[in-house]
Amino acid sequence: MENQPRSDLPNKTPRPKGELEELKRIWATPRGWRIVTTVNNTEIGLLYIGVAFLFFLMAGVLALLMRTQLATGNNDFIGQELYNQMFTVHGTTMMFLFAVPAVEALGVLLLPQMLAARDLPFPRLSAFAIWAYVIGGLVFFSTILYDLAPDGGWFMYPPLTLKEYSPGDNADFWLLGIGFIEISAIAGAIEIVVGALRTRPPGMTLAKMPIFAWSMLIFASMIMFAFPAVILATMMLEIERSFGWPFFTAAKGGDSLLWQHLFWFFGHPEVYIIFLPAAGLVSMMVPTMARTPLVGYRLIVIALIATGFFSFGLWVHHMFTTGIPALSLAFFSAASMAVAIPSGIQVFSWIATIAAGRKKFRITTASLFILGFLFIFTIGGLTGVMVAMVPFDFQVHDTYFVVAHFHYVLVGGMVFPLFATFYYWAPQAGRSMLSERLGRWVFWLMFSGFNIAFFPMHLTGLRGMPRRVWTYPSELGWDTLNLISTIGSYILGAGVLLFVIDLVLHFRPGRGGPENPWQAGTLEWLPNDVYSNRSIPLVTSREPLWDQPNLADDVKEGRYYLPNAPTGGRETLVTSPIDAKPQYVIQMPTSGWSPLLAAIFTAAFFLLLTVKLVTISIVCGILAIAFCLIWAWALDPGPSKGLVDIGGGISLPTYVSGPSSHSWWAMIVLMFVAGSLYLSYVFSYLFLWTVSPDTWAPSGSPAPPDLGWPAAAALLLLAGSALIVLTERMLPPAGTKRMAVPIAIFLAVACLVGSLGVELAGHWRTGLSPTANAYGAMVYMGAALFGQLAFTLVIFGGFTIARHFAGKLDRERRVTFDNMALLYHYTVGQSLFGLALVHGFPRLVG
Amino acid sequence: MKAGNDNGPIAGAILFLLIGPIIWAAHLLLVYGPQSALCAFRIAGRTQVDPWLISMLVAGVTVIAMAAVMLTLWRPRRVARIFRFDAAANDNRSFILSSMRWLGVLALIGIALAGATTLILDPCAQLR
Repeated sequence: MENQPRSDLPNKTPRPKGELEELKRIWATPRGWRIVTTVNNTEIGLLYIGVAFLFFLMAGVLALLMRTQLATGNNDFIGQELYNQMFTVHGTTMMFLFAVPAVEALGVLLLPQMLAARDLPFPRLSAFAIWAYVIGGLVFFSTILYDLAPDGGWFMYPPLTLKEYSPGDNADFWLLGIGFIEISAIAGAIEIVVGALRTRPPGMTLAKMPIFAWSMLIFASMIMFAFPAVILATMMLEIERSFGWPFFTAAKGGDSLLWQHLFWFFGHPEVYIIFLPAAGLVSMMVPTMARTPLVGYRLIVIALIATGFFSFGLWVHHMFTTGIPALSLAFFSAASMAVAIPSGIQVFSWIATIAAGRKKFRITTASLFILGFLFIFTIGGLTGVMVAMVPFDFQVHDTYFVVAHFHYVLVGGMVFPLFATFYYWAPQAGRSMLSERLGRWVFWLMFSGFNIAFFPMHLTGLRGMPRRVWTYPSELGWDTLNLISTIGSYILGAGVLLFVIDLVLHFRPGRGGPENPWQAGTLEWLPNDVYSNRSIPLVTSREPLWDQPNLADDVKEGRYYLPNAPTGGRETLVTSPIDAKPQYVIQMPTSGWSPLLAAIFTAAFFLLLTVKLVTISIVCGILAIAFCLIWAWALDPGPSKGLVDIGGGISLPTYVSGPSSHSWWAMIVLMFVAGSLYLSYVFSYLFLWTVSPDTWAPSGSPAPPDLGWPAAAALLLLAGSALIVLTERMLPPAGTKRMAVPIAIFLAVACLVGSLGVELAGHWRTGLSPTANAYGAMVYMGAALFGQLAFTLVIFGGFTIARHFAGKLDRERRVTFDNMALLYHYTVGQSLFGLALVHGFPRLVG
Repeated sequence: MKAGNDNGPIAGAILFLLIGPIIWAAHLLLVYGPQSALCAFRIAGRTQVDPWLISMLVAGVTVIAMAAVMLTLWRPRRVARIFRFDAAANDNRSFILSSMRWLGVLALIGIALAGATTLILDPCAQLR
């Protein structure tokens, strides 16, 4: 495409004097120790990826120690108990503290640049998520140093992890620590979903969105639906361990297979949650190195969506040997093979792109890692099809064949693209490139080391060596293969060590790195500074830097949209989700202590609860809520700035509430998360009923309370919803107050609490106890989930009332109220459904 | 200011785009849920449902799901109208339409593969 004539560009140059300096001042990074208060995506993204990489190194050291132990038979280098802790912490760290955070970090770091946004829409939420992860993750990992680490495997299967078989606090560190880190991942996912859909530059329609943005959108959507299942599972297991509610105890009608269903409903998509962003990164790098547009852009988007969606239908393939009927297994075996189709589409698209370039494919360190990824991931995919076949899986289940398979998929599918990313995108976060010479050594050491370490494990597994054994007798013929694997692991480790040396020698965090060193076509290579791009471009193709040769200069000179800071603060452009038409300008929060302090006290709440320091834990919880409220207080700036001119004759509002606002979108995403968690609960309820209907009311437990109880609870819920609707109509005109508003909100919240009280009292009066059997546990768990939302709304309602009294809530300035109303109506909907399930189902089947 | 709901197209676009996979998910839910529950009850001796009926249930749901996906592939514009999807930009419209069709084809393969298993397997047989 030809360049637009300068006169057609949205803004004229030269720009007013001082405009650039003002942008720099507004977006300046805090100096000295105040750096910890920064919320800018580049700084916190770098911290995020740095800490994720630190976890990779530490979990890698554990792997080397384990390989040393396994190098020969009958070895006693590491004792059994420590070995069990090591493989649990290794797997947990790699999956929860490295892989997911690393790709989320790349989203935070790179997505705004690829979308030419000044930042993602909720920078303080990102900062909170990252600090929560850093603090919680480091405390969790440190448990290995003082014999407190969990030892039940990264999947923590009960009954092994129930209190009677795993006494002590070790398992609780996993359940509370990892559950908390999952909440941090969900916070990041909300940021990414809203960011990818609402902060694209004008003209970047869905059909022109960079593949990495697509992959991050699908990644974050998958987190929304997958993580709640394991959050519910961890809640239930921790409740069973702490209070004896028997969700997983067979003697009382529970079933340990329920854990496996919930865990793998998260755990299998998790593999694709890790892989898809990495595939997105590869789809960005391959065209640059091949110097041609990506072949099959549409097919790759389709493949990403299909892989993400179908991955939710594969979870039972981790449970082939649990006694599920053959036909059920066949459904999931078929789905497991079907998912190979979209994965294959991507591989063929990359190969076609490499082949399609008119010039030779550039062999750089990044390219080598991509080619290594293609080789290793394809082998992992092929063995994946093998283990998707039920009879074969029966043979190799829980053997080293499976260890080899998933390392080929995960290391090939995520770690190699990540290293390619480090070499390719280093100038986005640093002042210089990494060394190409050292990089090639890094690649060959890692590639050869990986294959030497993991390929023999296929054979070790076929020879029958089980996973998770701390040693083995020498006479079984596994010694040589294990020794080769150990040698390979050290070569792999040497490659990673060399990379660390390369980082120390050549990586200098900061700005001013080489501009577009690979001659790429996407927007992250536009000239940028602390404020990201000087102006936000109009995008007309998928590779704008290739198609508009003057784009970089025009953006840098401020000839495109929003070249200034018209509200005097941090801001970025919000566009429509499909067609990317400018809609409004977000006023964004600046650096602050509240996200950091909220994260510290949230982490303290969970971790102190683990070691049963309940009082101080509750104090920390209250402080965490207090800092969240301080942070939220500044999030609704109101419409006082009016309309601003962004260039090209476009004037946009600086404040929007209702369905178009980004905060409304975040609340909708949060409701999807809550809905997904509740559906997992409904599944659990029905599953346990199929397992042990003899414990269900009315024959196996006290009959449900008279219908008057749920009717009263439902009426209170409906009354509360009606009050919220009424309050919306009563919101006062701008600059005024109306006492009826806080009274109505107070009454609505009271209705909710009252409804919860009625529900609990009804069951309690029948004599039903949550510890009696699985039925009782599920009934009270439903009330606990209702209580969780009611508690949130008590705080949210109080916050909304406080904003009214402070003169910050009226008919115009209403984002806080809108979000509370949304959550309120959702809570009422979920609770009405819950009442129908808990009171109706036993009557239906009884 | 409270802006009107101009996000209708995104909800419609998501539903339109994912209609094939959504039908695939519904199919999986409707074949796996009842089949595994009925088999569990049968094995526990709490019901005497004929295995043949379970196979027919799976086959029936499969045929209906495949027909539904094929209908969406045949008349995508009618589906778009149901979901009130109409992307303004032409490239978006053709992009989402072709993506929806390809996703439908993949869903069809998934449904057919899963459903075909009922032709060869006893619905409640255990593998041990």
